[in-house]
Amino acid sequence: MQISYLSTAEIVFILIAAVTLIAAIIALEAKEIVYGAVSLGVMFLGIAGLYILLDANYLAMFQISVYIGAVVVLILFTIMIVPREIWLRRAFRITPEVIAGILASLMLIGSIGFLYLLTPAWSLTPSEAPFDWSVRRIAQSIVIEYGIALQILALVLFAGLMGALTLAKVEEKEEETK
Amino acid sequence: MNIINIILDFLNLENFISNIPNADVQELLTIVFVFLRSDLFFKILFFPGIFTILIFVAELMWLELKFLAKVQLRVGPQYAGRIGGILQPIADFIKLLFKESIVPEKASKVLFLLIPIMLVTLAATTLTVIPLSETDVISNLDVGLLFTFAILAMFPVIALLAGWASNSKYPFIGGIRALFQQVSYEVPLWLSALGVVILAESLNFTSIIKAQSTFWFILLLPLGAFIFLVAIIAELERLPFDIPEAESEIVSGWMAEYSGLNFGLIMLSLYIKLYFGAALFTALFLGGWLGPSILPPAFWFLTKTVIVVSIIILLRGVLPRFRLADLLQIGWRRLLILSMVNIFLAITVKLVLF
Repeated sequence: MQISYLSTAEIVFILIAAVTLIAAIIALEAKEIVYGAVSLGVMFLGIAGLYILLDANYLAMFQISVYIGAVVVLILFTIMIVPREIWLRRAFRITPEVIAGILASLMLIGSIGFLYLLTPAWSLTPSEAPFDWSVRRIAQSIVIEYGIALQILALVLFAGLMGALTLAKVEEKEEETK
Repeated sequence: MNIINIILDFLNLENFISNIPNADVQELLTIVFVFLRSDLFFKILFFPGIFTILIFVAELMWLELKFLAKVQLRVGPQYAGRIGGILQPIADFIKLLFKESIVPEKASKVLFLLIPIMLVTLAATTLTVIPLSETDVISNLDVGLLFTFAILAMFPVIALLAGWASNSKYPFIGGIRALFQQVSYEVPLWLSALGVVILAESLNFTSIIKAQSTFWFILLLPLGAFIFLVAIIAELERLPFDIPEAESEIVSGWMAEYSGLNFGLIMLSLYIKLYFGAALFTALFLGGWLGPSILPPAFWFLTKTVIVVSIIILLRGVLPRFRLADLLQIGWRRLLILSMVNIFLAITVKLVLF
């Protein structure tokens, strides 16, 4: 009998990937929408775990705090506020849309796999000099190398915020006129 | 040479393993024993880890019972244990152990029973990055502060799920309140900690504490420390901000349906969270383990933590509860602006002093 030749990192990767995929499927297919939201959170956690495996701790922490601390919270809020009848699902049936979806996803997976086989650069051997993932390095690259992109991104977000505020204000005014 | 090594040497299991015929199993068991003998396992199980924290947290519960009683001119626990009922939390835990755990009939059972486990696990996870001294830390993560905040961000979700899974009105209201409160107080919490990060130039707890060797940050950023204390009290759901579990309005909020050991686990997680909040304040503003070197550094860290916990308990004894609307008003309209001012002050201090 042989103990498997997988390294610890690979075993952990397979476990996390399996949990992530199963959680993603449950998130889409759960009958009770709250379970869907919970498993969405589990899926985000799994992705954070993959980032940690890739040595990107900083990214993983923001993944957790933004996606679970904000996105899942928002989804749960919406679920709790909206009346329950809206979320009830119809029974699962095989419609042309479902078949088309399955075909499209199979084609996507197939083409990615084909690319993976074609390119030697995708091999799993680690590079000689590991990239410096420290927070200081990330901060320098964000502020110095990509400074202008950061400013533009901030402007875009600001514009989005102003747009949302304006929409909220308009609705209030309409209610007042009624 | 730690206590686990002594026990393993006494049991002499390695000798037993070397007699196993199968080479693969032998190899696997050897790896397990190397892990058991490693420094990391000792840290997780004993010194900065589970064992120390459990005892410390139990004594924090006792401190709360006794100190709160003194504040309110009562006696508090006095019979369990020789000195002032010091074993009362352990007695309470044993009592809860033998009580029936009731699951409400229409509750979502799996989620309902999973929530206490998730809470304790998350609360214990936060403790891995808090350093009791320069060496006594389980994981010296370079983004430790972010890690703790990321874990803190998960608690309100679980509180809401606990309220939802109970399928009962009071827990549900409590869950919604917990979500509102904790999500809105995360923002001032992050921003007030940002001042510390600017001064220390790091997100790692060890380097943050080392940066305070000349001045504790509470002296440089008193405003930031105040905001952080208020925000952490709101995150811990303690009086004056215990709106999610207000006994006189909604029984005991999102944990009203829990009983027996499940309730015990939730209380344990809340007290671990209390310790964690106080330890966070200590590490960020009170210089962590720094102190006169007559006594070991871990002693200074735990002493400062106890002082912070005592302040939080004193506030519980003295102040009345806020309304939710007032609380959100304070969070978004006062603390947010004050924490912006705090960042400005931190940058000024950084430019002037360093």
